[in-house]
Amino acid sequence: MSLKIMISGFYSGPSPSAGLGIARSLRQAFPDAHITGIDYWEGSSGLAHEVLDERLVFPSWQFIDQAEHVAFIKKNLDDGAYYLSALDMEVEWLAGKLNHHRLLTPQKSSLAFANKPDVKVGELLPFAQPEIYQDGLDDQKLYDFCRRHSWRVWVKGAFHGATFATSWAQLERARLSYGFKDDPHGVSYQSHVRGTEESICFSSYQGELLDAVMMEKRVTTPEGKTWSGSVRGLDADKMAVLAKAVRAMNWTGGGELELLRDEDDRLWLMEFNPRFPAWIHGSSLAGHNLPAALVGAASRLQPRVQGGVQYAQEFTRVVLEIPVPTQIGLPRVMLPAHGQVVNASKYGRTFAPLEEVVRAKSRTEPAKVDAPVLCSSFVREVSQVVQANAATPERVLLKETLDNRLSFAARQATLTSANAKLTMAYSIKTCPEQNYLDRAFRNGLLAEAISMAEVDAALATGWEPSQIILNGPAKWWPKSMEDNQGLRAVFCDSVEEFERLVHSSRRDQLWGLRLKLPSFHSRFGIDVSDLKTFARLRSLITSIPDEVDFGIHVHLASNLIGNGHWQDAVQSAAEWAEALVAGTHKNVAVFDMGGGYHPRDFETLAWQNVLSYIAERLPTVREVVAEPGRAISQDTMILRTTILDIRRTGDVIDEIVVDTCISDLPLIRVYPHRFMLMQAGAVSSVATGSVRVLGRVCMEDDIISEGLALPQDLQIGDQLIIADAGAYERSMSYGFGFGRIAAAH
Amino acid sequence: MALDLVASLPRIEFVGRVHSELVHHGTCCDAAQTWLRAMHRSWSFRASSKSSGRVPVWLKHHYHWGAVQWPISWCEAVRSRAIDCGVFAAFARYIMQHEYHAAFPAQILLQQPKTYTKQWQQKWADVRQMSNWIGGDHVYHEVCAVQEEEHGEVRIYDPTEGWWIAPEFSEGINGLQGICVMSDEILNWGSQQVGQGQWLLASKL
Repeated sequence: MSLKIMISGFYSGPSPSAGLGIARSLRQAFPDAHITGIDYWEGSSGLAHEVLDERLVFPSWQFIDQAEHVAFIKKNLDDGAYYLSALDMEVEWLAGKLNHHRLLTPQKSSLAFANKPDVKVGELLPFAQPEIYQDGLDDQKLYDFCRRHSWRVWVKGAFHGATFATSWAQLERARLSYGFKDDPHGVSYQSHVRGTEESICFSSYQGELLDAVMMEKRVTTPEGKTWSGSVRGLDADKMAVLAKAVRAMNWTGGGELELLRDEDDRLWLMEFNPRFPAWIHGSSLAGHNLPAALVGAASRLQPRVQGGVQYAQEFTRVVLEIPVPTQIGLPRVMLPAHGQVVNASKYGRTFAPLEEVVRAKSRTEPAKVDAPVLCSSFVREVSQVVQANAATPERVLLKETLDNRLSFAARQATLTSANAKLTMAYSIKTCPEQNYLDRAFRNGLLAEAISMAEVDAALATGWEPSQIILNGPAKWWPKSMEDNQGLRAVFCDSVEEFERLVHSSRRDQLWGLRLKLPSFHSRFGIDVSDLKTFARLRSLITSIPDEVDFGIHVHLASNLIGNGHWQDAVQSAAEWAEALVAGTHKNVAVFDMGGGYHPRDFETLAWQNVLSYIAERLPTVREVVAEPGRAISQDTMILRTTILDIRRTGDVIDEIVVDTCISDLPLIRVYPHRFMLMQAGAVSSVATGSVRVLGRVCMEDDIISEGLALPQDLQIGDQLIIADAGAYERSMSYGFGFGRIAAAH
Repeated sequence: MALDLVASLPRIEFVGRVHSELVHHGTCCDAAQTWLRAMHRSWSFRASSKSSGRVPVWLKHHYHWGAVQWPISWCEAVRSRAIDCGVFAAFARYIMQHEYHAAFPAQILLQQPKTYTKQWQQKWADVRQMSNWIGGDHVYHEVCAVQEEEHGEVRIYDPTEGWWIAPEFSEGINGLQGICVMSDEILNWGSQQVGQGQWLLASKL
C-alpha cells in the first residue's frame, strides 16, 4: 500500500499557509506517496500546484457539519492516511476532536503550551519574553502598561492579527476590530521589541524532537511575512533545550517559535505557532526536511535522501503563474460594495465561523466583568461632593485630591543634588481657574505661562516676575517683547525668536532654548539636528549679555510618549545642552523638563534620580524645573451626567445617551477616563464593557465611551460620574448646543 | 601568510593600510564631535527599548554612502550628505568609544560582482577620488569591531549598512571573504580568532 498523506491549508497569497511547502517537502522525500491537498476555498491557489495527486475543497466552515467532517478525517486516518494541518484554527479544533497516531498535529494538552497570549512554552526555553497585558477590563491599568512601554504596544487578536498602537485612539480602534466587545479577554496587549526576526522551526513526534532549524528572515513583505531567509541547523545547546521542552509538551507535529534578536543579541520569544511555517520548504532546501522527518517517524518509512543534491542555506520566493486544474477552477469575482475600492480575497472570512467554534471551546466560563478597584479615599471624596439633585452636566472640584497633588509637588521641590535643586512650576494653561492658581501659589510653586496674558494672570495672583517662567511659540501675545521684563526664565521656540531676544534691550534672569530633539515628533522647539541651526545657536549663545543666564527647555509629554521615551528625551536634551555650550563662555544654569505627566506617573517618577542625573551630567545647572499642570489638575475634577435615553437590541442594553458631550470633555477619546455609576445615591465603579455611551449633541464623533459594563436594570435619570475631567478637559471645554454662541473669552 | 594571500588579489592596494582617520582642526571639530554624540543619544532610545543603544544605526539613515574628498575633517564630514565607509566607521567608532564601549577599527574583504565594481570605479573617478579599494570582484570595506562586555567576544558591525556581520565567510554579493581587526589583543569571533591587525581569510582565497 502506498503512503497516503493529507495536508490542509493551501492558501498561497501574500500571507500564505504552509500546505504547499509541506507537500513539496514530502514529495521530495516520498516520491511515490499519494498526497491530497485540502482547503476550504477554491481560491486557495496552492491547490493548483502539480505536486498534489488529489485536491479536496470543502465549503466555508459556516457550512461544515463538524461531526461529519471529524468522521471523514477519522475514516481516512483509520484507512492509513496521515493528516497534517497548516491551519492554526483547524489544529485547535482537531485537538479536541480526535486522537490518532496518524494525526500529525499536537493534542490539547500540548497546545496548552502554545496558547496566546502568555505562551507557556516560554517557561521551558531560554528566551526573554515581552510583557503582556491581558486583563482587558481595566483601562487604567492598560493605560499604565502602554505608558510603561513608551506607547510601543501590539494589540493582538485571539488567534491572528496584530496592530501596532502608539496612542489610546489607535489602541481603541484596533481592539474593537479584534472583537473586544464580544470577547474582551480574547484581546491582549504585548510590548514591542526592536530587533531582527528569526524563527526556530521543529518537527516532533510523540514528544521526541526529530530535527530543528533556525531561520533568519532576510527579506520580508510589507506585512512582515517571510520572503527570503537563511537557514542553519540549530546549535547543540539550543537543540538540547528544545528537545527537553518538546518532551515536556509531548508534542506531535510541526512548530514554529517566532523570535526577535535585539541590538544586544538577546533573543525574545514573540509567538509559538503550533504548525509548520509557510517557509518550511526553505528548510528542506537547506537539507532539513522537517515534514519528512515527521511522516518518517510516524510511518517508520525512511525518507529518500537525494544523492548529489547541493543544499542551499538561503531560500527565496518567486511569483509564478501556473495553470489551474479544471476540476477546481477559480472563484468568480464579486461585485464591489459601495465604497469598496479593492475587491479583497475572501479567504479570511472562510474561517470566521471556525474561529467562533474554537473560541467558544476555549472559554471555560462567560467573560468575567470585574469593575476596576478605585482608591477608597477617591470614592469617599466623590461620594461626599456629588449632589444627586443638582442640575447636570455638572463639573465638580475635588479639593482634597487637588491639595494632595499640590502638597506632593511642593515636597518634591525640596529635593537637591550637588548644586542643583528641583523646582516645580504650575502650568497655568492646564487649568487657569483662580482657585487653582491661588492654591499653587500658596504651596510655593512657581508659575509657568505661555502668553503675556497668562503672565498677567500670574502677577495678579501674587507671583513676582522672578517666579514666572515664560514659554510657548507666541509668548509675547497679546503684548510685546518689551513688556513684563525681569522674568525668571524665557525659553525661545525658534532661532529667529532667540535672535530677536538676544539683540533686544529686554532683560530677564535667564534666556534659553526649547529643543526639538531629532528623533521625537513635535511641532515645538528648535531643530538642533540641522547643523546650520546648531552653529547659529552656538554663535547666538555667545551674544547673550553677561547678566543673563542660559537654560535649556525640553517638553515631551510623558503622558503621550510614555515613561521610557520621556526619560530618553530628558537624557538626550542634557547631551544637547552640553553640545550647545561647549567652547562658549556660557554655562547651562537651568534645565527645564516641561510638563505633561500623567498624575500616577508624577507621583511615582523617581524625581531624585532624574535630578541627580542632570546634576551629574550638567554640573553647572543650579535648577532643574518640572512644569506639572495635567499631573496636578487632571483627576481633581469629575463630571456628573444624567442618562437621557437607553437603547436596546432585543432585551440587551447596547447604547445610552447622556446629557454631556465632547464640548464638555474635548479629550474624552484621547485618554481613558474612569467611570462611576450613581444609582439610588450609591457610587460604584464601572468596568469597560459593551454599552456605548453617546453624547447629547448631533455630532458623529460625540461618543463618550465605546463601551461600559452597565447593569441591565439601568434607568433613565440614573447618573454617570466621569472622573479625570480636570486639566485640559476643563480649560479647553467650550459652550456648544445651548442655542447661543458662547463668548470667545 | 595571510597578507601574502591578500596581496595575490588583483589591485587590492588598500589591504594592509591602517584604518581611516579624520583630520581634527580644533574647536570646529570639537563641536562636530559633540553634535555627533548628541545625535546618537537622541536616536539610541535606551530607556524605551531597554537596550544598550550603543550601535549608531541612525548614521545609515542620516547619511548616504558615496565618495568624499580625502583628507577630510570632522567638521567637514558631519556636514556632508554622502560619506564613504571610512567616515562611517570613524563616526561609529568615535561614538562607541566615547560611551566606553570597546570598539576597534576593522577592515573586511567583500565579494562584489564586476557589474557593481565597474560602476563604482566610474562614480569615484567622476569625483576624482581613488578607487584603489576596488579590486575586480572584491572590495575593501571599513567596519567596526565591537567587543562584548559579558562574553569577551567581538562582533562586527557595519555602520555603512546598519547591520551585524555574522562570524562566517560567505559567497555572493556582499559575501565575506576576509577580515582584519586592529585590536591590541587576539579576540574571539564566533569559532575563530581575530585581532592584532592580522588578516583572516576565507579558505578558498
